[in-house]
Amino acid sequence: MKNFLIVLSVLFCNCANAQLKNLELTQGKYLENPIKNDFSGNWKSAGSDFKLSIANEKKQIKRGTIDIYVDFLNVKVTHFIKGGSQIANRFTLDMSLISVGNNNEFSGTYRDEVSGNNVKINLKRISSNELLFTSSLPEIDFTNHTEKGSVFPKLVTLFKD
Amino acid sequence: MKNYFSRFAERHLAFTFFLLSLFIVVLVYSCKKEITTSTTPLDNTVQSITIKEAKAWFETNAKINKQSSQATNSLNDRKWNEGINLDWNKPDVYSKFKGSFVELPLVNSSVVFAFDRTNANGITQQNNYTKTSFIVQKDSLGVFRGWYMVLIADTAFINGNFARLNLNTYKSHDKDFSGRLLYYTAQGEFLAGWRYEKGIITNTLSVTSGIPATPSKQVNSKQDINVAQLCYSQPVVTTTASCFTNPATGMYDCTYTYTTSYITQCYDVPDGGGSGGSGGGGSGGGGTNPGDFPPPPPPNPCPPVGGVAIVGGQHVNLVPGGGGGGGTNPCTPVPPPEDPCDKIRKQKAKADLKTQLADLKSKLNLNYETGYLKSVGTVAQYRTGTPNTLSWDAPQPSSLANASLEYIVHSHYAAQLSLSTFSNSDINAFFQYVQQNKVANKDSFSFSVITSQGTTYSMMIGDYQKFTSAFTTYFSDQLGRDLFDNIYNNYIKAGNTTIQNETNLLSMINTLNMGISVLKANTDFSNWVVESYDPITNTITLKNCN
Repeated sequence: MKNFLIVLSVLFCNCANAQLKNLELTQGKYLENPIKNDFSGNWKSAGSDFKLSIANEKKQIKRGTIDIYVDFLNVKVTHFIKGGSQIANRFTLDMSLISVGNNNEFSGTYRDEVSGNNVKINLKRISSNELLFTSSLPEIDFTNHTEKGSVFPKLVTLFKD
Repeated sequence: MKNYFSRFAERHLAFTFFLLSLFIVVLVYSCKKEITTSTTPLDNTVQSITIKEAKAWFETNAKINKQSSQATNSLNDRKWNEGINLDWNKPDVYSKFKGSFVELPLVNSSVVFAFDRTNANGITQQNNYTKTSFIVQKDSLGVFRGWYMVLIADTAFINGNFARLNLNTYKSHDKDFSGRLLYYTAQGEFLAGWRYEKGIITNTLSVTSGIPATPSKQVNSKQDINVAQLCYSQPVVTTTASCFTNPATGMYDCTYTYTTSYITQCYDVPDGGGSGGSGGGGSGGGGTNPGDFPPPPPPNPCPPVGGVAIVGGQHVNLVPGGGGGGGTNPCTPVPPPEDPCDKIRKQKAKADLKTQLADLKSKLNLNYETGYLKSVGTVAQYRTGTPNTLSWDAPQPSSLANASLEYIVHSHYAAQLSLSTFSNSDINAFFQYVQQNKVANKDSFSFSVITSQGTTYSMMIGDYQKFTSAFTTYFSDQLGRDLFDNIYNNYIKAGNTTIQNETNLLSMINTLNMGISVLKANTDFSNWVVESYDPITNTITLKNCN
């Protein structure tokens, strides 16, 4: 009993997640990204050394208690000049980015086949003609050689091509 | 003078009579109030909270997709309640039995319980004589229960008017209801059943799964009383339909699972002695009024292992609480309650953790993450991350011996996007170490973080079953991890306050049913508290075990 003195301290924090959306993750709910079409099309960086082609697709994710439909972006690196060389053809797979409740952005993990690292990719809509592309290494990743970093730009604004 | 006394006596008598009448009225009224179980409507705010609570409870506790062991011809591994959708837009909320109830119809009648009226193996997919709903009860102690209520009306009761069945709910039923009332748990286990004739319980039903293969008739003898029983078994086919519109083809399609069990109804046949009566009678909730369906039997925890023999097997015979006795209530395994102080004791037993946290705290102004890794029988290993990145060189699971890790602790140094709590990668790493069998002891293994915002947290496993299930859903492949990262980003942000991220982390763990316990340290790491989260009030409770 002397080791079992439980003192309760309740923190009232109703304001804490006021911005939190109530995600419905079951019953085949479609968590549609209402601006997914704004991401589709061809995009290029200001210097035209980095170009992407983006298409969106609705897919079902059904695993465990999760049963939802979400929007995916299939992102193909079509043009990438790095160190004076064209390396776009070294990426054999498309980036598959998803949006679950975050309306103005899509994100996912992509295998950077040049560095061999997993990279977190995020695409955020700035306007109908501008996207923000960011890449970062995960804080902890069991496949990475962090010293090699990633060939992708950490942050770049993309414009409609 | 005599007149005066006479008048006084009359007045005194009248006053006494008035007081006595008043007392009787009050007494009768109070007694009536005491025994009534009639329903009381709830105001809109209370209704809204009640529905929210019921839904949160159902999603977390009742929507457990248990594989049906009785499926007879399912095409794939469908779970018993996989095709059951509750219509949360049409709840009936009321107060009854000193608790609150939410009664929910099923969407599109996607499950059908039907007595097979034609042959033993026939399937009746649609049956207008059957109605199913789900009841969520929150009792006066705040304990939730939920069960399916299935009504199978007699042909004579319906008499061509199928709308008559819909007048019968758990809240109230037609005074002339004739048919069967069955209760099932959310996982499809039979709970209790009764036979009604003209609104009165005339029999208690039991269920047999798998056997007999065909409807049968048998005579049993009760051993203790001088009465014989005549029993009839009748198959009940449960049809679970999962229907959806295929987005590719636009076609509406359904997958059906059929489950057959047998409802047994016994009648007492006097055999020389007095009749014991059958079924019927009271209920566990203080008696039922005409018009009330009885509540299901109260949960019956299993006896401890090695104790009394567990009741179970193929055949159960249930009697509503307070009813005629002789019935058994199938036991419900109850996991031992988690002792939060046990986690704190294990955390405090890590002899060097306090010193290591103090060391990491002193290095929060560096431009890289730092940390310690402690394995069994070794000195803790100090590891750092790449400068100016929010990464930490955590050991690859493949580089670790199995069952070797005691704990991991690392820092989030002061940087613009530094988080005041665990990152999504931290949570993934915690799951990977455990599920790849790298930890020495699942009960005491902890993954901790100390941050530049002044917070120190540890994750430990709170519920291993939930933990394993969450691993499969969110961390067993890249799609799961991307899904988790996206959900995580809805909750945790670098720009949030520490209390926002603290609450939201617990909220996410609760919502995703991750089976993680979160502990929080004080500023000199001499003490830890266990944090728990209430989704209804959005509050955190800290449990301190000093």
